[in-house]
Amino acid sequence: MEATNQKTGLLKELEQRIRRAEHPRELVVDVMLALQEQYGYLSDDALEEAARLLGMSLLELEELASFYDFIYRRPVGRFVIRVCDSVVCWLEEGEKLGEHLEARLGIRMGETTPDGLFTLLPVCCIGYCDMAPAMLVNRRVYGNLNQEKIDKILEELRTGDERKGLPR
Amino acid sequence: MPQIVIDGRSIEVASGTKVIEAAQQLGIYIPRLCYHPALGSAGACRLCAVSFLEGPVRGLLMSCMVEAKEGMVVSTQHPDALQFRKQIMEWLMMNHPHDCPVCDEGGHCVLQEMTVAGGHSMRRFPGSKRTYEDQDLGPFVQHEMNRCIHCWRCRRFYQEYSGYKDMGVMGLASRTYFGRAVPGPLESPFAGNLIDICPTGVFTDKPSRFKARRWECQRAPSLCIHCCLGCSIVVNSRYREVLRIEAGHNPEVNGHFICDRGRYGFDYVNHPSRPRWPLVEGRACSWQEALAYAGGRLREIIEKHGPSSAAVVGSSRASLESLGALRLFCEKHAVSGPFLWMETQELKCVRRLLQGQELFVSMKQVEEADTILVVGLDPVQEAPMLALALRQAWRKGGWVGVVDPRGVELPFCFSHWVVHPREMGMALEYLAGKPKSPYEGFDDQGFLKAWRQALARGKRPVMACGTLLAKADFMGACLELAHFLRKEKGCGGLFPVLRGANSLGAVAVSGSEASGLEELLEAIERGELKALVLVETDPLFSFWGKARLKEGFKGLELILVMDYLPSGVSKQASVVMPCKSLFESSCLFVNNEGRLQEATAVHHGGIPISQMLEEANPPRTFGTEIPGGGTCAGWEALAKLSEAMGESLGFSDLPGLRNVLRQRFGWLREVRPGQRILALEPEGGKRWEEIFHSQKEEGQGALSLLLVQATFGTEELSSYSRHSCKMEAGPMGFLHPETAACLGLKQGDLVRLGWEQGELEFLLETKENMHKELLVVQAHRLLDWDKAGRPPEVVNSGQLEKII
Repeated sequence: MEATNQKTGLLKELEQRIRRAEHPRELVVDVMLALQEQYGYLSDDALEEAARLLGMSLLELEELASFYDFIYRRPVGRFVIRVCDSVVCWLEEGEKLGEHLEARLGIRMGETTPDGLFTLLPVCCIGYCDMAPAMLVNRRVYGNLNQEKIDKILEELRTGDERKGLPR
Repeated sequence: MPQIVIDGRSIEVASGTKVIEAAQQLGIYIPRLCYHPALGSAGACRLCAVSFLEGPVRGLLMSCMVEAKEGMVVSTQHPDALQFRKQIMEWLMMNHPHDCPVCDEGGHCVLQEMTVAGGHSMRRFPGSKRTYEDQDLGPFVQHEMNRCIHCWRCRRFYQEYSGYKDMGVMGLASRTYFGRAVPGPLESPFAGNLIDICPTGVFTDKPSRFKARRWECQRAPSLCIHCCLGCSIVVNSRYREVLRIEAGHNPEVNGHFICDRGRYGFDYVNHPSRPRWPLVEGRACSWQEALAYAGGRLREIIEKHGPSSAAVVGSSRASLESLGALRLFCEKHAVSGPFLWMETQELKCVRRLLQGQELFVSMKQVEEADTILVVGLDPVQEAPMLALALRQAWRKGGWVGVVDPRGVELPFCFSHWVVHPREMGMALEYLAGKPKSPYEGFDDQGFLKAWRQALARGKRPVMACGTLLAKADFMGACLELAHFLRKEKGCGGLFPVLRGANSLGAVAVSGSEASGLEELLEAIERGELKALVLVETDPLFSFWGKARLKEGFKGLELILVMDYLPSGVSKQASVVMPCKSLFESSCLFVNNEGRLQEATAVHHGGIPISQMLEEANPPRTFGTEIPGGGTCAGWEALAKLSEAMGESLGFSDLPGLRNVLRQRFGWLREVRPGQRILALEPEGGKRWEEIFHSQKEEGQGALSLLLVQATFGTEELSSYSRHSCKMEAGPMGFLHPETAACLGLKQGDLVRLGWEQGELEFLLETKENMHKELLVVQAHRLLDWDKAGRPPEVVNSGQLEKII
């Protein structure tokens, strides 16, 4: 019941924002992100909802949704770990950290752990070259990484200390 | 005007010209995959690299991205450029499957040509190829995404050029995918162009899949006759079967593209029941026998009952030669006709429009206009390519205003003034600034003011008008407004949309006493007619008088049909003479702007081999003639008939006929194919005011009935095509949602409209942007015209009932 209320509340809010906008299309990414927040990922239903709200075709939404890295068209884990896959991090042996994460979590890049806790994704430069090698967990940055540090972060994410303040 | 040197040759080009175009003007073809003259540059494929030796930029650059500037010296054959292009080809082939032998594009594939030209033959890259899942995109377009090289032509055409939003590009990098969000038929009526513009085999022609290589086909330029615009096409035929239509390039008319009705309507020429030999009373016989019989009977009837007891009927889908021969035949034998029009009203509309023919403009000029009024016209349904031209004008910043009672939809933003049919004339008078207009002083929230302002702002106005709503003062008001715009702006034109491919040709050969089929029907019912010669026409297709005609036919002594269609009327005929379609004999058509255009014969024609295989392969009967190839062009059959009656029409072959026509019709004398006829002279014609039915009194809650066309399903020729029938939506009727609600109807209901003389059944769709006092019904081939008499102009709510 609460979830339904929350959803209709969100839809109302989005409809209002779209009504106020001079060019509703400008809000397309915001709308998709808001719906993603609601559903955990941008499901087919959510995509249709966004198309309806903005008066755009399903394809136009899909064109954008499938282009942007931070919009998930498939379910992701509680923590989305994005390992920087760009040149400065490579210089600091970032690739090895990716492999380490894969080994620790027992999944490959692009996969989610069976317990639904972690999703591992490579990402283009996230702008933390000064802290290379770096990664993002949901919206928090972790820099100057090494294997020990990563093990510690994973442990904390698992046990809960690190969970607080980690919005999706 | 910069001067530029390419490969040692100098040329002056308009500023803004890209180097790739400048080279083309010199006859130098720079390889390209993503550049297309209609779509412009994308810089996506990197194949058009050339070396800039002198001038403002130096080095290796993409010739589609660089504008020609004064002093540039360019080499297309520089070793750097050659090496670069060679490398690009190898990269493009890295992911491209080696399936040319089973790919339908093989043989006319740009990628294949470039690969061979670049000398790439051995694969060096050891990795695996990227693969995709394909989608079902409907009956016309076959999808094979693995072959994609990401040139973006399809999306640029589909979304930017033609304005439809259900096909595009998803994903990024090596996952880039061109297709729909979910599999399903492409919604655009221009989707077939994807096949032409895709430089490789991602989008190929589905109906002709696995049938032939292009080099195996007989190919010739021809004309599309599925509406009045006369777009250029290229026809591919193999083994006596027309397999595929491609868009022809005609800069004045259709540019590079055609619509899907034009692309897939051709299949009527392959119809298995097409008449292939003469039939007398249902029995196959030789031409000699059929001519002797029909000629003899006709002469007897004329001698016994007088010449006016025989009538000749044609239509606006017939070639100018056939129409001309019909007129000559009538004059020679003094028989009635030719009746070339379903409705007298339509003939008079076209005649009236001709009075403004000095204002007529080409579709190219419509594209270049900045203010366009579309009145009484639903472009996507009636003449689809016009919608594409209007969109191009809109893309350049043009303003489009539609005055129409229907729920018109166009692939761009336009202003829609929803006016009841009876008020159309008044609305146009208001726009022409008539001070006494009832709209003067009345304005709905400044809506009309914006229209007047847009018209005042426009420098190159064009008015496109249809003939469907021709009522009372409408046509006259159209002309008046067009003349008003011309006077105000010093330029501006009129783009008429007519119903038949050769409507203007038909009006030009019609005599001053010409009339529509209603009068013929009445003559039949009065028993005055004994013989009927029908050439390339089928009044039973969608004529409201179908049931009465069929009844009237019983009293006739001779019905002679000359046609290439297995038409309804040929089943009623005592003599059938098989005709050549326009793919089988060269012929002339006059399009809606008065342009004389020639269609060249593609093949001789005959029963397609694919249809003879059931019999035996190879055939067991031997002969020197092409099976089913003994057909005549309509004019040829008429000439032979006339000779069988003892009088020659004065010609024996096509050049002879054209000479006779040039002498007979002054307007044809100076014009060559491709040129506009500047002064079509219709003979006579009554005053405009007399010609329309009086407006009936309308009761409370009455709805005006409009019978309209649809992109698929209402046009005669394409309704015999297996391909385009797959895209028909079935007979649809339209109401405003509020009107529907008042009547207790809703979207998706099957509805019956009944009146004293008949009934029609259709599926109801509601449209927000149509007039509330209106019922719109598609004049669909699947409507049961056997049950329908003349549809009423006004419908009361009691006449509509829900069936399911």
